[in-house]
Amino acid sequence: MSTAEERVRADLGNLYSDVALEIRGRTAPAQPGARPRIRLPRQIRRLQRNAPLLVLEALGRLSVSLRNLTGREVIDLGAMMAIVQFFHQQAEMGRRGSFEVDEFGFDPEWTESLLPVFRWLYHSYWRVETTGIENVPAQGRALLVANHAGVLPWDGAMIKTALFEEHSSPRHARALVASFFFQLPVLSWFLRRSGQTVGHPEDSLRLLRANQLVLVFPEGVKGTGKGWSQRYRLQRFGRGGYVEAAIRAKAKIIPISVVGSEEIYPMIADLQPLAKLVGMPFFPLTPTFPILGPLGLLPLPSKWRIQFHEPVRTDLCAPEDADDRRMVMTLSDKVRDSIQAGLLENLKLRKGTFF
Amino acid sequence: MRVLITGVARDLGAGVVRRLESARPAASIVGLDILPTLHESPKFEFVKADLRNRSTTALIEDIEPDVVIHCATRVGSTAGSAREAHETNVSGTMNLLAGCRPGTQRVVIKSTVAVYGFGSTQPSLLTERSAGRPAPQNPAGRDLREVEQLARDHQLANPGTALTMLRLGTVLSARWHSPLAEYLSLSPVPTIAGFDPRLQLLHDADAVDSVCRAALADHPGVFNVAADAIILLSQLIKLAGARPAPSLPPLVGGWLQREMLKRLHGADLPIHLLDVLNNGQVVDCEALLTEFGWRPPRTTRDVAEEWIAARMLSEVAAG
Repeated sequence: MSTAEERVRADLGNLYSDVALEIRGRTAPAQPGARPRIRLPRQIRRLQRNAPLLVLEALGRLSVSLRNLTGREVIDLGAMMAIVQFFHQQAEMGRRGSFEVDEFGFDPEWTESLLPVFRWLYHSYWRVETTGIENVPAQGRALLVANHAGVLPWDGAMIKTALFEEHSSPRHARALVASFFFQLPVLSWFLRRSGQTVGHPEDSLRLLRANQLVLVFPEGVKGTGKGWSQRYRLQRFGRGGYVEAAIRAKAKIIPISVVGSEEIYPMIADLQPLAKLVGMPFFPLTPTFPILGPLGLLPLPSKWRIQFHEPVRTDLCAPEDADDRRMVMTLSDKVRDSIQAGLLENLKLRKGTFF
Repeated sequence: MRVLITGVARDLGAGVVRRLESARPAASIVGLDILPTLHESPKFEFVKADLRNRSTTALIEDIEPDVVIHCATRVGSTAGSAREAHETNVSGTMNLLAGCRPGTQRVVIKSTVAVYGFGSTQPSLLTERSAGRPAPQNPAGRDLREVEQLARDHQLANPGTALTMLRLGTVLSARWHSPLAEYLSLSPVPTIAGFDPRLQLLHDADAVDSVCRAALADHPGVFNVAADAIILLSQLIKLAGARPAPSLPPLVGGWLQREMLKRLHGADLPIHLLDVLNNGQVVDCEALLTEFGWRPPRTTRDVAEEWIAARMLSEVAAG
């Protein structure tokens, strides 16, 4: 028996023990007081219990025979194990007894359990290259300001992943999201549970004063809902409310340029009448959406670059400068300029849109 | 010191009476309610009167109270019609304030966090300044906003009177009438599909404590009163050993959800609590802590755990 085969068997062994643990967890005696569920026939229950094990065994066999046949690793057992581990961990999460959320509804433990998915998107799918992460302080407050693009806020997710993956002391960023999304089922709790909050000036100020990293997209839906022809052109930066919050909290502003997010859903047109009808800020028409239905929601695998710029200091401002429109707009322009310059620079550094 | 307390036949009013009887300096207490109360004590005098009635004003003038504690405002009760509650709240408060002579030292009003209304455009933690943005759509919130305005107007006309308004959070208690407790006792607990609101609770003893503190010293202003920290509805249901069933449709509005809850599950929640189940609600108690040097010592989780323990005990007692 070759050593490679032995290794595969050892891997499979580990895998089986993981799954066995998972199954044992599932068949734990029901809590007293819980209502008994509908009982399926015994054969079906046994099959149900053993299904993951059988699938994995079949996959293992298939992997070995494919490798013998082609001489290459066709099915990546490591990836399979990572997937099993992920679901195992999610099941654990669902069972955990008590956990704390902060006043905004943020559950760090649960958020970190989702990280494998975002880590895969970050490293394998969009192959994100991040520069300037050292500009983000290891502790204390800072306001992160980024360009916003790509219909769905994957850019926010990737910035958050970058801070957790690349920073020497991993940190959670708290993104401010348009209030519209908090009215929607599922999103309303998902956003809060994963650390986001409503884009309200009082919320950003409160989070900054609690020494958090706050992530804002001053372009808002003007950025995500812009057409293909407008790509990498920054839209208007609102009324500069984020600068006011930074001055009041004496927080540094860290501009961020994200390249790659524009190409994930190339937006051909904005069907405004339809958007008005369903109460959405815009209704995108992309080459795949809505023609392919839910499949059209899959983002394209563009190549991404994220750059964290030198902080713009606000500690020299007096608190009353927050009411000085001229000062606020000047600082806002400074932030906007450095993001726009960073966009152009990173576009040049990126060899192609998809590689 | 003469203290007038309205709504003494109800949980909060009765709790305040019992606490103030043992307070120093000793006070003579006059309790007022439309329902009879069984409470008896040498320091306590009960007057059966209807605040909605204009003649009650003359009655209050005769009592000549130094401190007026208005606990008769109706927030959580779903008994009777909405118009009855509105009349008790608005006309009742008008008649009460009309009877307070200019020399009245203090007026304490029980208000509610429902005055903030509900909506996703609000900050995550509501401060006292956030009231009215958006204007409350729920009956209790609308009534109490009007009551607060009446009290403010009264205070402007009588600058010598210190006015304290306490916006009390949602009480979860096994001892008090608590619509939320009734809802959480359903099995399974029907929740709104796709929503897991942030809840903030208040212990009944802390509610009583806050009113008594406002009655015994001048703390002018309007204050949120709620427990520290939050709990998610899913956490609370799990903690109570129950199962959630996401059976109420989202995005259809509180009125329809309330009707469904009433007809299909037999639990009657006031509209503002259905709004809480949709949007969640958390208030900031900084102002209370700064002015009173005190905030409810029991956290939201303490309140929940105590309620669950009390419920388990009563189940055991019932066999």
